[in-house]
Amino acid sequence: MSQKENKEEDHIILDSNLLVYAFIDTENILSRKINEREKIYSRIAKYFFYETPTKILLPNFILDIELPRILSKLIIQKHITEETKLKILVNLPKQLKQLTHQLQLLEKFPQQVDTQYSLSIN
Amino acid sequence: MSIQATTFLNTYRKKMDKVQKILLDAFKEIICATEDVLDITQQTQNLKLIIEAIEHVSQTTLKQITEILEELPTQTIQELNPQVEKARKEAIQGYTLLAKIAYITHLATQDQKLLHLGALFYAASKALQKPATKPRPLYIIAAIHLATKNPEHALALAAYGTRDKLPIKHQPREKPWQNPHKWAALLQASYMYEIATKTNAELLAEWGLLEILQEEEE
Repeated sequence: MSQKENKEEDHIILDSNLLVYAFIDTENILSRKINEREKIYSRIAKYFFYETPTKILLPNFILDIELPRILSKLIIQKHITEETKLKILVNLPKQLKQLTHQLQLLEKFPQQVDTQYSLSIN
Repeated sequence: MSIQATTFLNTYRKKMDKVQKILLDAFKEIICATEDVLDITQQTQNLKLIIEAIEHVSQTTLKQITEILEELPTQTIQELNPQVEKARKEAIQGYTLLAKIAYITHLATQDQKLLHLGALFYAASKALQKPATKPRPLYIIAAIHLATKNPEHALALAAYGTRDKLPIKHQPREKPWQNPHKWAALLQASYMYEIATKTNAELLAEWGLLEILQEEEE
């Protein structure tokens, strides 16, 4: 297999803290709450997730466990009680799962990696 | 003096009548093309036939409109250009805003139709981008007409029409009529990438997610 073909077959796993920024694009948002570091995270995550031919290994546990855990922490720590906000936060992981399914259809992801396998990698 | 003023007004009026007539003729051609596309989508849901028809209609219409607009005085074209450009940019902003609203409302209600609608608004904003030589708006009109009958075909059609403007480069190798599911996914993923991820960031940053993420890192 040539070097070029080898490169196209490269698979990477993004750190889960970095992966969140692939779903939350902070790069071009004008807000005092977003610092330069977060913008750089977002750029890197977006680059690997959407813009390169590099295939991403997306372990199930990130969308099934990690993301709902972070959003639950947000709800509790920031005392979010408004019904619409809660609905949005609850539905967000479902929406992101749908996005990963669409990207999988477009062959951006090689396969759905099961939790056991991805945990053993980590 | 009054004779000079009357002559000037008459000449100006004649000039304006001519410009109005040319613009009306161009507008009639656009309406005819739109009607043809709507007729086809009314008769069939076959994507291959619809795409072939749009390409055929757009070629003839573009040729006729170019011929009509060539008759416009250069000065009028120069006067019209900034206004058309302003209207185009405002329309893009409007469609982008509608796409954003549809996404937020979908998140709050989980109504899938709103997500499809948002993706079509997003495609409409892409269709208005330059260059205007491609028949992107005709694809969007056909997609909107098809949306209630077959949402997946509608999204696939809009994705195919705006494919050169979509940010995700993993485009399906098959044609839309061979695999509408993949083409629909391309439009929806692009919509998520350009609209939804930004909207998520705006909402979640405001609600304090970034502080939580910083805590997680520590």
